[in-house]
Amino acid sequence: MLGIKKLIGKCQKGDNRSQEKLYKHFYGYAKSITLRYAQNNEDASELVNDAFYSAFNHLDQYDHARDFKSWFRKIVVNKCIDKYKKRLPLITSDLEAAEEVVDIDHILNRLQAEELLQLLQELPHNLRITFNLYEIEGYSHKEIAQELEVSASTSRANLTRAKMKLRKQLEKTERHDQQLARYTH
Amino acid sequence: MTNNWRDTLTNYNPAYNAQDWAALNSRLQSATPLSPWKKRGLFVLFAALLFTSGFVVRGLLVEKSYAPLLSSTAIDQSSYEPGIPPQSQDLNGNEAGQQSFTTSEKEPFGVNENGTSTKSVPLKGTSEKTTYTKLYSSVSNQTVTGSNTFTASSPKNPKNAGGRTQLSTDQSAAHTVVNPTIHNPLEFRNHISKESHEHETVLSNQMTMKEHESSATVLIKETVLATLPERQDSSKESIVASIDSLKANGEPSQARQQLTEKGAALATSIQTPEMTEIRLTFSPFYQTSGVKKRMLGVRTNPEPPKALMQTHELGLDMYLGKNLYTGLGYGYHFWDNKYAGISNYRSHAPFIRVGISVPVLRNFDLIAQAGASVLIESFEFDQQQWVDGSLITVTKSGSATGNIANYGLGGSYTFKRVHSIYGLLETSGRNFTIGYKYHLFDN
Repeated sequence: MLGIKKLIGKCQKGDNRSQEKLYKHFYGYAKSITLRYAQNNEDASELVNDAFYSAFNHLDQYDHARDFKSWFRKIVVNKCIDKYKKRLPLITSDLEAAEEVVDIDHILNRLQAEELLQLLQELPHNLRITFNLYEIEGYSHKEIAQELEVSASTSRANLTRAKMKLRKQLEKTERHDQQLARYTH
Repeated sequence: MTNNWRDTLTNYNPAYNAQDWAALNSRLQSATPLSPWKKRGLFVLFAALLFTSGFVVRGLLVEKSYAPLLSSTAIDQSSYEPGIPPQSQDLNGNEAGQQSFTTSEKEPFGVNENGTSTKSVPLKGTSEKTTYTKLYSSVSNQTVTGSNTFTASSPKNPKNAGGRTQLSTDQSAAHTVVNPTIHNPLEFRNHISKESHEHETVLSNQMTMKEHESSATVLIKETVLATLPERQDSSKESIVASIDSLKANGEPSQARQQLTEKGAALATSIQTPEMTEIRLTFSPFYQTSGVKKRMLGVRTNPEPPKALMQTHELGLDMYLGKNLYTGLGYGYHFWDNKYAGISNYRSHAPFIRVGISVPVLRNFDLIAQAGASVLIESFEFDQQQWVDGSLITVTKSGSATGNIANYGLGGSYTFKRVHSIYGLLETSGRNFTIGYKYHLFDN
């Protein structure tokens, strides 16, 4: 931890080598976040760099008493939200009717990280972001509504939609796998 | 195994990609505050070198222009002995020396045989030659005194820049003001140079006329005293003493030598090319612009829009010769929102340029110019694109640096000697620029 703080201190002075070290250290962490929000790997890499760029330029605002990882995570997530915020299509209130309890945990638990990411990346932006913010980042619908500038009910509807889509995709994939298994046997 | 998939995702650690760091690093380097300053520093260094080389070129040109004159006049500097005590000051308070001597040598005096005429004398014409001859013969034995009396405004004097050379006595109505009708500086110089040599020849023929000397000396003395009523007595005394001293002790050969040498110096100085002209340029006008892709960064270029770009440039041009100039400056460009769809474009562009300005009409020059800029720009623009079957607008932003070269062709019109307006057709995304130049000084 002391090493990271020292590294951050050097980064604040603009030391390029320290920046590279910090980048290497948190690259995987940042990428794992952006991959969930991005549509593909290239976008995820771009988001990682956007986040690091922003972090390096605002290191003077970082409070050393706080955990750097949390501070940086916030930057990464905000970058992801900003990127797709403008792409969000208008969600009308009739989607509220779609709200229902959809439990997909038991299906998702069976998947590997790459499979999970692939599933998420196939979701539309608005659903993917809502799902991520709610299910992984732990945002409330009220917070999501503020971040995405939509209503809380829209956020809830988006979450439900996301889960339904995920379940459909999973079922589709399972059917496909079963067919494939039948043909191969 | 509740929330296992969440742990799977959060614990997922993608492999490090060095290419990503390379991309970020280049972005950091281009945006690091130090980096542009380094570039600017290099630019300033380069500009300084360019200017220095300009002075070297200038020095070479001066030397070159001196050489034939010096060899043709064949002056032996070592044999020069002043012989006549130098005067402390002329009537205008200037130190006696080259300038005042230059005046008496360079300009045809309008003094007639009675020593009272104050007419202006055109440089060309045979009738004036007689007057010069008499004048110079009169001056022959009192060179320094004559120098003190007549004060020249040489072209180096800013009051007199712009192709006219005046000779005035300043304090005296009895002495002439020569206002040549020749406006072209170069022509005037050539003429003066030629006249100077002619005077020298005539002078040498007249030098031996002793009887002329004494009467002329008296004439000059009387003229000086008569026309300097407001001068202090000490100045008068000094002049009288000089004349008397010259009369009593001066050798005609010494005076002649002085005249010969200083005449040659005059000829040399007036042959020196017009070297230093510094112009401040300011281009505060709109420029139509076809924006080049590379001006908008690397990754997220829109199609080049047609736009009106506002450019404000401040430059300093130095003339290395009569026609060749080099300059450096700083440009600030931005686009209006309503054009181009670029909501925020700013470009800082230090530049250097080299150009040729060729006079084609009395006050009109043709200009050909080449320049290079270091663009340091930031931009933001909206781009429409199809995502998931719907057309959406994405705001993109970034910054970039780049080098850009441009070439211009145009003209300038000079009025009141120091003010110029100019227009240039330019490449590099600009179509037309107009601006204003102020000539700080010239010689």
